[in-house]
Amino acid sequence: MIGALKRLYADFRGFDEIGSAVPMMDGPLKPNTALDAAPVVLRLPEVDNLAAGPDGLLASQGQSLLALIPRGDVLVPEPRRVFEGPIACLAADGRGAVAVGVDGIGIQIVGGRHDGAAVTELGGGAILRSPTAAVFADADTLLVANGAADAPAAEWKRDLMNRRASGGVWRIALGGRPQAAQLAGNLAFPNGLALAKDGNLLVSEAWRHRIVAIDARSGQTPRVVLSDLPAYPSRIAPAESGGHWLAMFAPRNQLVEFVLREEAYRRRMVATIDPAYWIAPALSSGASFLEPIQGGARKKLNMRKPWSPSWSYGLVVRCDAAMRPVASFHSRADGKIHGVTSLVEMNGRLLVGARGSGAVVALDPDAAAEATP
Amino acid sequence: MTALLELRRATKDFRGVPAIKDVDFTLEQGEIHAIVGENGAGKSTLTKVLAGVYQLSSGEMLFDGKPTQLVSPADALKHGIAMVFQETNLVPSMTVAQNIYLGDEKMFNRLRGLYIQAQRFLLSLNFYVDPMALVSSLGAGKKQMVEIARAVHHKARLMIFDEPTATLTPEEKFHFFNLVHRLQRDGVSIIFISHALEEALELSDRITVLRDGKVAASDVTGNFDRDRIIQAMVGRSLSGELYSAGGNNRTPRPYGEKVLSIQNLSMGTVVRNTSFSVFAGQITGLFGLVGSGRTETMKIVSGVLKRDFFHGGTIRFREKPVRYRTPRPAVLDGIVYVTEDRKVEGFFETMSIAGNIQLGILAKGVNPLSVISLAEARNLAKQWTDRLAIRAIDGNARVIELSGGNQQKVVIAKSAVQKPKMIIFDEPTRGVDVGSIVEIHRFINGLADAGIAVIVISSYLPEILALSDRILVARQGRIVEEMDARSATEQRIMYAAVH
Repeated sequence: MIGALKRLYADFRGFDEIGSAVPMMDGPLKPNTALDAAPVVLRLPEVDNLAAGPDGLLASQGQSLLALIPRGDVLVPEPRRVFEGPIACLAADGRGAVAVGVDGIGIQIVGGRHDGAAVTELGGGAILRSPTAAVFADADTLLVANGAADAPAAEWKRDLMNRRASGGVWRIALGGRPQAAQLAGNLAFPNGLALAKDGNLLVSEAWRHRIVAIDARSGQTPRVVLSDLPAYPSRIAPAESGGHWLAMFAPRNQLVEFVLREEAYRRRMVATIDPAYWIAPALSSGASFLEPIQGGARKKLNMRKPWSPSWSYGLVVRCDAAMRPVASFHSRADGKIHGVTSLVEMNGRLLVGARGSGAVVALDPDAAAEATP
Repeated sequence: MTALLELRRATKDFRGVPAIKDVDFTLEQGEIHAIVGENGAGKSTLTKVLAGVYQLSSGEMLFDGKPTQLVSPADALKHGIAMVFQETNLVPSMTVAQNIYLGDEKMFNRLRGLYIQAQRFLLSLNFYVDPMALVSSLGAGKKQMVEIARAVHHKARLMIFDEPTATLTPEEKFHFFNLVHRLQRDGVSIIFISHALEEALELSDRITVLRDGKVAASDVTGNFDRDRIIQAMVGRSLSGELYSAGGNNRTPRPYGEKVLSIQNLSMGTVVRNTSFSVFAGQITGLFGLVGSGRTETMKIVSGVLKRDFFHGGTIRFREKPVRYRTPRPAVLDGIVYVTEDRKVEGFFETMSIAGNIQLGILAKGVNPLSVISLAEARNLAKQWTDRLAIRAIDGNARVIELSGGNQQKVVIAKSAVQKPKMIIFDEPTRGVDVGSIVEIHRFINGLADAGIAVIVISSYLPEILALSDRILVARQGRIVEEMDARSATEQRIMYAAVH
């Protein structure tokens, strides 16, 4: 009751009690065009889940697991295997095993000593319906993020607009019959995992715009290590020179934040409008005139303004060991590399998978130091 | 040209301590003469002697070739010598016109006639000031204009300006320089004191440099450059230290934790929907012209001013939403604001250095039951006096007795003793001599190196470039541009501030 009164008073006075203001992209997140300037090494619609596999680079496109073979300056996709559902995540243990998260179904292990193992149930009636990210803690243990308890990962937009926080992180022992133990629950769409040097598990919680750390063995109340982000965080990849890379798959937008507060409007929108045209973040935008436009001209002389409000954006953030942003690479509203969902640093290059634009670009990791101070 | 005024072996001492000693000074008819020197070098004493505020202890003063003893400012004015002080001597409760004609009133004054006369007179000087406005409602620049107008009205043959441009906007400075040249054409001699060496080099015909109460150098302006003036002022070259660390040559400090996040902050028409962040372990320079809202924004952050009641935006300090109604909770949280107006807001002038520093500790909110002993306070004052090289006889010296640079160091010490997590310096070296500037800059850099978030507001571009790791430019109440130290130039910053 007191909380409701406080919220009412805050609303009346204009306090931002629920965080509807979107933080500035400034400091280390100052916009640039580094992603657009980077060389495109692969054009492939819906490319996702870049991972360093046992024999080279892996990726996914829909239901297909692909190997990306370097040929000169570009990558050439070679199909490896087709799964029953869209691939939602990939993780390699470096010893030959690859965990493949199949959306709506669960995790399947390919190669290694647990080849063929599958995890669909998490115990206690919970189902691994939305395997959004995975990472091997060791050869026999897999840590998995279940983005939402009751919807596949492909329904992420619905999960956001329904303001759900039903995700969790699970520790799965692969030996024999896989055993799952929950490390953290009630997470708002966890869709990025990485093991930090101190043994903690870093989890990107997209709808709360933050990164939390939890004990990878025992689990505990998540500790916030990075918050107040201006975009929705996605995959986290370790950087070879220390720290991490963080992909942000869509920008936060004040109109979306407003719609998230408007219960009736939001429910009606979700019930009656095609999700592609919702007032909601997107991996790519600008393709259809049916998309909702926002107040303020987005174009001038038929050119998209780089600073105009956009449903999609491209953003990769370089973080230090404490997960503090130190530099960033952008593709702004008028850019061509939007919807970055996966990253991998390999052979001195940072490969950035932009699912929204269907492209993989290569960045020089050292350029991060030059991009911003 | 003939000498209008001459000082021969002029000495003025206070209780046996000479403020100026054996000064020989000559001012020609129609000459613009700049007097420069560190705080405490004797500039103000010298000009106050010329304006009749002080009388010489020994030596001789010749005006129009005749030995002259000025007994009061009124006496000086009779001789045609007027002084425009840094802190204006206007009557705040009277109008502009009344102030201009103060002391020159007729038996019966017709106010309307007075205003028309004042209007014509101000326009003839290119000063756009409403003669009917109360002086208390004017900004510093306009007050300065009224003060100048008053001096011109009294048909002064010698006008002495003490730091005339410190409070003026670039446009007002331009008008001021034009006025000075116009007065010069009319045969008026000008003496002006300035810490802005570029102005001295640009405006004056001759420069006299004072050091420790003596003339260190006096020559025609053409024979001086910035380095030579500084060398004469401090006895050594500061070219390696002063404003040299800036520009594209140094590596900015890396970003630390995001300490301050401001989103859509608004306060009337002064601060308009501004958003930006500040990071620990860095110096964030905040540049903007007068009226850009930079000071007001920081005053809202530190609880000196309040944001709009409705929809005034959000301030997050270390991830916690804050809205301070007074500075005290801000200080308790670790936000400290070092004011640009030290004389009004910075210290208690009749208290000692130790007393002021002690107040700084008390403001931090120590346990009300615990008492800071006088010895403890003195010890702290001693530590800070040493650390900031405050030049005073001891910690018991009253702040009013210190020079501007040392007063500024006391204000900084009073704030730094509160162990801030974020410190905001508003014009930290305004009216401060070059020697102290180097020391203050060194201290500010030390704070950032220690991991504290530092914000420096400055109107002086070389200072912004020398100190900042990251530069924010404010215009019309909001931050309009962000630059890193490597890519920033004076032209880029000024372009963003104006366009």
